Amino acid sequence: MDTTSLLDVIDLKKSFPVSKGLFSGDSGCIQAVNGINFSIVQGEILGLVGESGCGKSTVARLALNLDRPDSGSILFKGDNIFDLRQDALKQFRRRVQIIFQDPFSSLNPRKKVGSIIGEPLLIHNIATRRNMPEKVIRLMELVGLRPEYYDRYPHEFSSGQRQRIGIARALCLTPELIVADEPVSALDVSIQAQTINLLLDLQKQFGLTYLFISHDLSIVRHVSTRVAVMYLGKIVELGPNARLYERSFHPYTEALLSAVPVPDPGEKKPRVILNGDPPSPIGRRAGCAFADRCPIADPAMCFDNEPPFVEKAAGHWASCHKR
Amino acid sequence: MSDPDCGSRIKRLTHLQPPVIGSRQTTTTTDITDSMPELLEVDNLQTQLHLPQGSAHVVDHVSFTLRSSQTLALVGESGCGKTMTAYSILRLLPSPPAAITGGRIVFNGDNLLDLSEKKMRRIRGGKISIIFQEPLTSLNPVFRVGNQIAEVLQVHTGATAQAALEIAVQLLRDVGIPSPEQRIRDYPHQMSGGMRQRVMIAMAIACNPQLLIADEPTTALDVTVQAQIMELLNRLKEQHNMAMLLITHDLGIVAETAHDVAVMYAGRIIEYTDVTTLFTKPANPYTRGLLDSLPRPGIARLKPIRGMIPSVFELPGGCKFCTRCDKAFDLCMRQEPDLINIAPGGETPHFVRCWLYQKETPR
Repeated sequence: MDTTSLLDVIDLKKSFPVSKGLFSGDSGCIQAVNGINFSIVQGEILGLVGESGCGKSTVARLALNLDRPDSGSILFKGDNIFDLRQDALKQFRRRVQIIFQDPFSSLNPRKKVGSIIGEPLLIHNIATRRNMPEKVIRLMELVGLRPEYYDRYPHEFSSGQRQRIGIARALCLTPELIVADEPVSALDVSIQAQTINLLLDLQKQFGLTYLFISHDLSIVRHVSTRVAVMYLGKIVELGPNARLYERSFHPYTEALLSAVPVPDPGEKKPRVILNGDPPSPIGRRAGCAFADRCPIADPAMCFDNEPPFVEKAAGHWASCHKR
Repeated sequence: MSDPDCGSRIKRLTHLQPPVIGSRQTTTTTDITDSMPELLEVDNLQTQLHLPQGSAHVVDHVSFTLRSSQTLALVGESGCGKTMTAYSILRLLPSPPAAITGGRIVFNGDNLLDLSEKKMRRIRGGKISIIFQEPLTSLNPVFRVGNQIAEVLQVHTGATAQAALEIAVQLLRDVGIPSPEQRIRDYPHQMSGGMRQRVMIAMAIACNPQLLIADEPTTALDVTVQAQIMELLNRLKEQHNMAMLLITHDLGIVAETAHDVAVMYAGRIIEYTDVTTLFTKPANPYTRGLLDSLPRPGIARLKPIRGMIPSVFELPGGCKFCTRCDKAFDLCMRQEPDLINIAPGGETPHFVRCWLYQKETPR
């Protein structure tokens, strides 16, 4: 693993049991995360893209130690986060923060903005009740909220402002890694751009590292240093931003990129239209997970052997037999 | 989407009527050389919403025209009135709290606002149908999808239950659902989001509508499924010669699908022209701001629009965008500009609501 890496994910697996019906006893298993490896380098923004149900948010929850994996480990600065206890765990919680997708359900409606942002400061003994408001107001100014909003409740804000509250709360403990789980998906275009600029400014200002999870490929392209593409619980491609968008190895990445509508009526691009929906992650199948939708699948190997995740070009990994 | 007949598009747009602004009366210009009549003409539509926190014009003097087999996109951010416009056309808004207080909606020569509720019910799902954004909540969870499609046919065409089910199978095949004979017996929860949206589309095209209103048809879907659904909609539109009123916030989809675009802000149309002009020569500062807010390759930093979308109950005086506009001057705060054609001699009209483009400024 890279020596400068902040977070190393090693062979991580997580499944959830599902019952098929109320009265049938047999149950299957969702392989939400099915053996993934990646690391996040200090100071970078790693974009994690994929369609709904591919396991992106499970990765986020595991990286925050909110869920325990079935197997595998996540190292934060070399320590396995699932072995941390007491003080060490509390320290980890301080250094890794999350920004949630939904700015409505992620803020307690009964609390004022000041105490939403300030509570972590008190819990971690960073501020006292006396100097907490001053620190909170500084944070609010940092994310572009007016100090006079200190005593307001979340329902008095627009979705863009609420997301700023969420960002201020994530920043208050001066974390090193921020997991941003679809931070701008719920926002309108003009507000989305403001929020992205804010996140990028803060990253530069404080030298933050982001795991930036999104289904929007244009946004991930804009913010990320490197991009990982997930499909059915696996990372199928991971590479430097520019190279992955210009020359992708995995046919799923290709289809995903070509499906993004371009806001330019003059540009005509060839589109790979995939057949069918992403298959259900329940149950396990042999071979490449993408084989049954893949336009270049080879019956001789793709359906029986799982392709290894190998380095196809410098720093650019993909799992495909054909490329 | 490629545009098969650019020439006819230009011709068509030259006949695009100037929308009527405010209370000013404009004479309707009809061109006899034009063989393609307007399918839908929305003229000066006003819809009000009366809520405890106040009354607001959620659709304010909106005018546009749509011809057969053309796609008009209504674009804007949340709360700009695009869905309210669509629902007003079908008279789907509950009254109270909503009330259509003025204007005309002329469909095939009839003003829909004058029709009885009984006649209106025959039009909904018949000549005009709608696809809603969220396919799970718009399908009835306790009926099989086949029966839900068949019901539309039974109501509108008087087909027998058996015949309607057979057509439903055919419709599901048309919208690309594999083994439709089995799938008609599914309940909505047994289908994926993309499949449900296909069922909604099958239901919408069941009676060969002349106008299909698609209200954010792909917003709830993944990007690869979105590509499938947009391709399906465009194919069906060509096959059935339908006009489409596409409501979306996604400028990428607009660029690939629409012929004409109307950009809405705070219940008003602020720019209205053909898709190429809109993307190459956006005139209204709001439209330009929207385009600059999009992340594109090679752009180091986004240029967002400052401030936030005002609530319809707290709109500023003058131009509704003036509080967020970098180009605003004192007149913008005082008086609202009209929607005028800034390319009167040009091949395609280009309507913009902005003082920057109005030569004669009042007072």
